[in-house]
Amino acid sequence: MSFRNQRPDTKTIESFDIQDININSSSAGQLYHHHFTPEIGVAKISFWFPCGTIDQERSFISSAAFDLLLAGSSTLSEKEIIERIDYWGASVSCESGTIGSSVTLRCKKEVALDLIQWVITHASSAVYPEDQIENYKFIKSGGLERRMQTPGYWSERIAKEKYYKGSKLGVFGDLSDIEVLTRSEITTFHMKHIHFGNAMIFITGDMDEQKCQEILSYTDSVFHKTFKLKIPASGTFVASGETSRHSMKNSSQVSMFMMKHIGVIDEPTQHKLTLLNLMLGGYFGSRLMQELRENQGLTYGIGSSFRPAYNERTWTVSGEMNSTNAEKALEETLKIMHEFSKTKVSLDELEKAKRYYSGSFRSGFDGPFSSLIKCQHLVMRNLDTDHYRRTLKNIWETDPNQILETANQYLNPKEFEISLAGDI
Amino acid sequence: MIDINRFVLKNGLRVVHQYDSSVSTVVLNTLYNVGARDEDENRTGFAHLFEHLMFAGSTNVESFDKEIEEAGGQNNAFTNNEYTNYYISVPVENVETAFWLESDRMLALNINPESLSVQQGVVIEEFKQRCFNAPFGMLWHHVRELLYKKSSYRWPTIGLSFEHIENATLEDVTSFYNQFYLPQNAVLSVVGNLNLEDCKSLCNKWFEPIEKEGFKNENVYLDEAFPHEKRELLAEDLSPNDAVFLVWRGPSFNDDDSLSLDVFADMLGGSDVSELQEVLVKKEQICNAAECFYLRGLGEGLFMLYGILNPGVDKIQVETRLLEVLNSFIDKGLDNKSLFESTQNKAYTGLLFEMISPLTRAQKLALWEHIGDANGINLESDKIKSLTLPTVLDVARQYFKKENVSVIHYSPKQ
Repeated sequence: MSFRNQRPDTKTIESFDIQDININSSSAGQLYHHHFTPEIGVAKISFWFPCGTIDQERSFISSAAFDLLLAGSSTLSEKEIIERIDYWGASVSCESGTIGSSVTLRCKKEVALDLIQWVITHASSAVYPEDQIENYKFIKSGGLERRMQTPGYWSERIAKEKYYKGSKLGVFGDLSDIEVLTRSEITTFHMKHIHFGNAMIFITGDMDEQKCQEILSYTDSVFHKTFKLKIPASGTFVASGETSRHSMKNSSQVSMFMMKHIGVIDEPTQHKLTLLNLMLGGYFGSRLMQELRENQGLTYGIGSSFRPAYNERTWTVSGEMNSTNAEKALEETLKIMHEFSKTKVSLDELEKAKRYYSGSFRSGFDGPFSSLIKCQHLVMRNLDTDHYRRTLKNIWETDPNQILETANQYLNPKEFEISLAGDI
Repeated sequence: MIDINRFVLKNGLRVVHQYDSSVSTVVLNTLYNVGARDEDENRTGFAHLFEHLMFAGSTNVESFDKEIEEAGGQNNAFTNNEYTNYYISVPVENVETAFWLESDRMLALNINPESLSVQQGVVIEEFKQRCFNAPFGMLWHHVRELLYKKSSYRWPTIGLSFEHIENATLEDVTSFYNQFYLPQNAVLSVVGNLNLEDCKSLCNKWFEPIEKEGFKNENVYLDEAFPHEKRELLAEDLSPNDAVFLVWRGPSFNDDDSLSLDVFADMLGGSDVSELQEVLVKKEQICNAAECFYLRGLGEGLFMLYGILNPGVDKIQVETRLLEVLNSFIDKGLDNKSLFESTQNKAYTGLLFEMISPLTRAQKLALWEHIGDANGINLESDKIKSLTLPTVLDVARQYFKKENVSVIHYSPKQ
């Protein structure tokens, strides 16, 4: 079986035919995205509201307003509202983000319009019953208390609070914030911010043009104001220069969290950062994963990623480390980060990252619901609809010199806030 | 309904193929009939450790992950008590790379002291992360210890203790590989943008020449009777609140009763307005979480009913109320007809959504083929539709007896 010695030829994906990610305007003026996939029998419809934690006076108000959206309306109890949704075999999930929040419906195509009408009717007249709020406090506190027992929660929280001091990005809610939630502040948030007539609408799955128009004709009847995200001004943040250490009893590992803010960047820089992050800790073949896990066995998982910070980014490096070697692992991580701005990456390493990224990028467009996320990303970052068509070209044009420059500009370990929590 | 092609290679490898031209990728999913229940009681966690070693390279592949990544693909694996599942998803242009890699590690894995030592370290860190650093992290250790006294189901996949992982030798892992990683003990499913002809041709080229001595795992295990007495355990673990877990052993995946219990669990605790939530969380406010689920195992299943307590609430009170809510729910009988229909509808819609992902399809096809016939995937919705409420309630009555429940009272570790 000598043919096995030969690796089969692999092709690079340097371009492919990307379908239009359409963003349209309804007759009333509401923004919507429609992507039709016939014959699958199901639909996913999402309402995206231009509000979130940035609009709240105190932690958890926005999430309570969304989580309890169907907990009782002016005419029906939570049980009556949910039982009907269940009867249709559908599900509704509500999620509060920082500048955008969503209500997403998943259902069989036959019941989509009924479901939308039902949800809009009862969510719009949500009354937030006192007893539901009291129950919510128990449930929410229980969940938060459990998260607070993990080293990962504290390493992230300590770093973010220190780095984003004075910004809402650095605010973590406490149990006391849950305890003092009131019906009046949740209702006020709802009345001020959660209006289905302000939401951008995503209609995906087995919904043809006619079905889409039926939905829009209904949502136009509640139209209030064209969707527009409120983007806060970019802040300037500086790392403290000290590593925080938080000791936790009953812990057997050390969680490491490093972070910095990446403000407004242009499109080519974004793509260079994507590649740099991949090589740092963005995939299994990254230096962090290979060195700390595969060569030294110091961790089960370590990685780096960009997380949304409003419409900008927080660059994070995090992992759970063997406690005996935590300081060594931190030192190793800093060394790996520093190396990127000292020495050019090899063509091979860069090529591998490009190949990996291209495959993931293309498969990210597979499936009937993929355009929903892609479209939200365009709106969130204020990108034009050709953005995705330029992506692979930018990726493949990036060379080691540009990665070196990008690392020098953005990957200085001293600019990262560092926190360790756990068995210290 | 999806069109499936099934064939068996000369070496006994069963292949299931499903063509889907709507995606740009192909998923190769390989299920090996070996899990934690195949381990020696003094070498637990072995099947899972071995899963890690499968990425260490093989005779003709120096670095498994590197090759996948260069092909623009992704891969991962999981192990449970009953089987080990590996998958690779690659762009269709590079599908042959996936066949090369998956077949080469089936043919001759490169097991060496270095990779064993590194992966032992990695798995020990995984053990600590999952079991010691997460609330209720040791739950499955306690559950299995209580439910089983002799059976090899009495330890969780991660293993009884990480010392077992530390003590694994090269001989141990080599013998494990030689015993279980055989084509005749595996199922390969291929789902995505690859037609049947090309799939067969690639299977013939890469997998068919692999011939290994050994036998298909017959899955003969110590048959441990269901307990006839109530069992109790007091446990301390990382957890902010007290908690009470009630567990019953139940029928296997292939038994129709298993689906009934799955649906029953969803009726009782699968929604924000379920009976458990309404009574214990919202009305009585004795728990901040109250849920249940049925784990449909291939050998047998487990039904878990639990409540996480609000501060100051007594565990005995919650145990009593959990049982009372369960029994009164069963006693409501046909009054729950509308809830039953809703649950059926949700299960059906859930299946439609599941079938959209090529990876989920590939994993389910391999599993169905492993337990007998990949076409089982197409019968799932009919089975759900043909269930009746009286049947579901009869099954629940049969299994949930307070005389044979296993109870764990959890307290926060001091």
